[in-house]
Amino acid sequence: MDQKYIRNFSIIAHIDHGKSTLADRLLEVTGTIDKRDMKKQILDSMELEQERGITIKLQPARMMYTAEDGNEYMLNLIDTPGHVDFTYEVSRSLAACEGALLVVDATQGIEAQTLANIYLAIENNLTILPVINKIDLPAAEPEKVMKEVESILGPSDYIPVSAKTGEGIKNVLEAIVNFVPPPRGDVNKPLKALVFDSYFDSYRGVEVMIRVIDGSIKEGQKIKFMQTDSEYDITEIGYFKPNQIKTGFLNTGEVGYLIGNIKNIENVKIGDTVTLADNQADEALPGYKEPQSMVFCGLYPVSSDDYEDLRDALQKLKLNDSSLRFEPETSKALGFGFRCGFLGLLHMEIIKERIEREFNIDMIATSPGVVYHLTLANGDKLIIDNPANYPDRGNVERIEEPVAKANIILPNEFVGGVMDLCNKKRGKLDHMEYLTEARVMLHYRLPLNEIVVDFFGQLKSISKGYASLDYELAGYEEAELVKVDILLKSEIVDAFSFICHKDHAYYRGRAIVKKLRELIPMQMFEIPVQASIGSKIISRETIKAMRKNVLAKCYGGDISRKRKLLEKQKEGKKRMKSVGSVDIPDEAFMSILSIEDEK
Amino acid sequence: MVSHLYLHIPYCTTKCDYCDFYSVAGNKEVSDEYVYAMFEEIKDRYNGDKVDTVFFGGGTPSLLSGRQVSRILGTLNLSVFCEVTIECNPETINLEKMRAFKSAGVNRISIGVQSFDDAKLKAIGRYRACNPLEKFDMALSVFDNVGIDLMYALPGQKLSEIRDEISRIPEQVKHVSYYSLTLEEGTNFYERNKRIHPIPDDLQADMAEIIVKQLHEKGLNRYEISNYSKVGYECKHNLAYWNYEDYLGIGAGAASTIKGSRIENVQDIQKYIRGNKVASDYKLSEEERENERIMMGLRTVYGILWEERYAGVLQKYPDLLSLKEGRIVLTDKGFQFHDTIVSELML
Repeated sequence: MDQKYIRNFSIIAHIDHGKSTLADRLLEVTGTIDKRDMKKQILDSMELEQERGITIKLQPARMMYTAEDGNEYMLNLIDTPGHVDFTYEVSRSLAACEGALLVVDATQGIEAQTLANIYLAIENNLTILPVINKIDLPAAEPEKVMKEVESILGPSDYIPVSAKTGEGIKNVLEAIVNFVPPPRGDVNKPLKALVFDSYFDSYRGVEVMIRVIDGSIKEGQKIKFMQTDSEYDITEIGYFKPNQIKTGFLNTGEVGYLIGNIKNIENVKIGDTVTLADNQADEALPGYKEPQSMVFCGLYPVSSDDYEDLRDALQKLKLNDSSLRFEPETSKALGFGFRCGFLGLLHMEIIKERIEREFNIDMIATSPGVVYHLTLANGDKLIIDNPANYPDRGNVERIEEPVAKANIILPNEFVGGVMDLCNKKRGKLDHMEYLTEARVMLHYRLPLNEIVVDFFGQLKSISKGYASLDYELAGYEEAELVKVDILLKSEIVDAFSFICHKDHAYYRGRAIVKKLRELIPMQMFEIPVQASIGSKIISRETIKAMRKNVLAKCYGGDISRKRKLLEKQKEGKKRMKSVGSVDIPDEAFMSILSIEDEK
Repeated sequence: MVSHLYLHIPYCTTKCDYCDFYSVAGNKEVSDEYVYAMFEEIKDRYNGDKVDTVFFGGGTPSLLSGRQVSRILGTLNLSVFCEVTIECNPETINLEKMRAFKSAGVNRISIGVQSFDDAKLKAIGRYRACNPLEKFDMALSVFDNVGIDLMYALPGQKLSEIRDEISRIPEQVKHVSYYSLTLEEGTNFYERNKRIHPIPDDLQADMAEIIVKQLHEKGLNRYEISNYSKVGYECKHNLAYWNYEDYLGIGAGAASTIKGSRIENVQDIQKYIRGNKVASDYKLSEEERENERIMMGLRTVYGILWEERYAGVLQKYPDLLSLKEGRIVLTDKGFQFHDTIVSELML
């Protein structure tokens, strides 16, 4: 198709603001999918996404649309994941487009993560078309919401729609045709195609999603990934409708997929450039970055028999997710497991949930942490992603922690509470701005570690769910951090160790010790529970020794019920890890994720 | 062959707050209809085998008349040394009834005193308007084998009060069942969430120690977690449960274990009388039977036969378990941790 009739666009929206419904409606109105084949939110393919109503990635889709000017246009929808963890993926998806629909809920207003994606769209020079959704709702206030949008984009027009009823959808399609510029690439130049996503199919290998920037690409050609320097023969090429339609070629400006018997997803990196092996582009497309793990935690199977299964599960997930990192680690408390690196907290949650749900493995996840940079007394540098590896205190000259730039958007009535929270979390207010009279954006510098440990939950509870958060890594800063150990019967339980600011060590240590005293059941002996910094004990509680555990009566009529009671006790015990001689229930390992600060 | 029979009499004058057995309050006697329904069940399920033990439990089996007991026992083929027990609430017995029970074939009675302290009893919803000691005199004038049921860890109970209770047990009593008050699901305590302050485990454990010691001094030796007797007066019927032998339970709410099946009767007198007697008939798996055998067997001082696979647990708890003549048994301290040990030995 002639380039001037191609439009590539994405949809930027906050969770629940109606992105999937709008996409469904576009597919339906353009006749891409028959109404009778529509199931709700057809583009959300992962089960987890559909269930949680969060969209990580929509499938791309090509729609043919005959506009009011009488011409037929090819509209390619490329989605962006709506979450801060996937900022890099978002930026690459946006780089594959010329325009973006900014979908905002007419009853809610802009949220922080949406805002972050708007800035990314602006950086990528996209034409942004504001779409105010849910105008069918009685509480809709499109004008007020547009004020917020304009405070970011400047004066703009908007398209009022109801993705639910279908009102305004035609206008959206017309706006895409009329305002989003056609692709600018040169069909005569050597091939340059941007990899914006990939997917692993166990039969066909890696399916690579690309946007052709310059040149064209055909089945049978030998291609080269410029960053990974790997070459493959294309065995199939086509586009999405949103199911795959084989065409044998893709031209400049088009969006589609290619398959080339690629077994290793490590060779297909998002943001990489595809070129032809025998007619290479001079240089790769700009903007490529290696994915970086920001959050780490240990994952351990509850039953050690599941170790190999857990490894398989991680390997399978990694086939589709090159940003997931993992390597084996052992813990004295938890046995054999894996230290895993994630792009962020949601990424971690998704992976954990998928392992439990899709692979049916019961796991213990240790408290999430970040990567610290240490300078030792002898000048050596050390990078630590696991508190258990923290060296002896005396040897540490200097410790630096990752710091994030965080933007929080919230109704102004909650500003006081949220500022208190940020202070407790060692945040430094950079500045604050009013989006409208009622809504405020706070710009903070916050240590990443503080965001990782239960920040989001507290933010939501303080703001009754109204605050939204976005953050990005802003470098490393020196901080007075200490490692706190938790001891049971005078033995350090490595899985409980954590690194925190020295001013918080006492409170957090005490809170964890208290919580463990509640969660660890009485055992045959007394168990001192202590928190320490180095050899200094900062808190102590005692779990008294159990004195009795016996059913007084058991006669003919009681046998079934009492057997079941004891079988339950046995099951309960199976769900415990023994460290030294102490049995620790699984939930104790999780519970320290949600220790609230007190002061 | 089933040689142990349990007969459930789910009738009571009032329901005690701690009781988790099936029984219906507001009855001064047991209806003949119910006794007749028991005959029917006996006719259906009992094959005429020689019976070694019979146990009338409840409820309040002493609400039965001598004639009713006599007619029930008349349907059974009792062995020469058959132990026939009836549980008695002191309120419901008198000399005449004792004699009637005896001539019907009863040779062992167990009197449910629970506590000699009326105020303590009231706190657990049990009322008494008689002097239990008088009832013992009466019973002992008729029966040789008289036992007593007591409870400890009653709300507000002190350690010294336990000594006092034990000192009041008549010398001639051959058997003591001494239970700690347990908050069971389905009881008034549990359901109505009555405010009781449970005795802390520490104190309960101390009480248990005193009970074992003092009863021993009176010649009453512990042979099961909560049961004590003079030599030769262990309850044969209950030992059958703990030895995991088969038993046939007759009556509404009674349970049976026969050839690896657990049969539970309906907990509904009317349904039972109408003929819908069985509520569930469940084939136990081999694993469940093994687990029950361990659970029951370890309750007594005779324990269970040693098996190699117990070695780990024996090693882990040297002060709770011991090996005696090829059997593994709980120590005195071990009895207090029966659940811990059993759940570790279970398959």
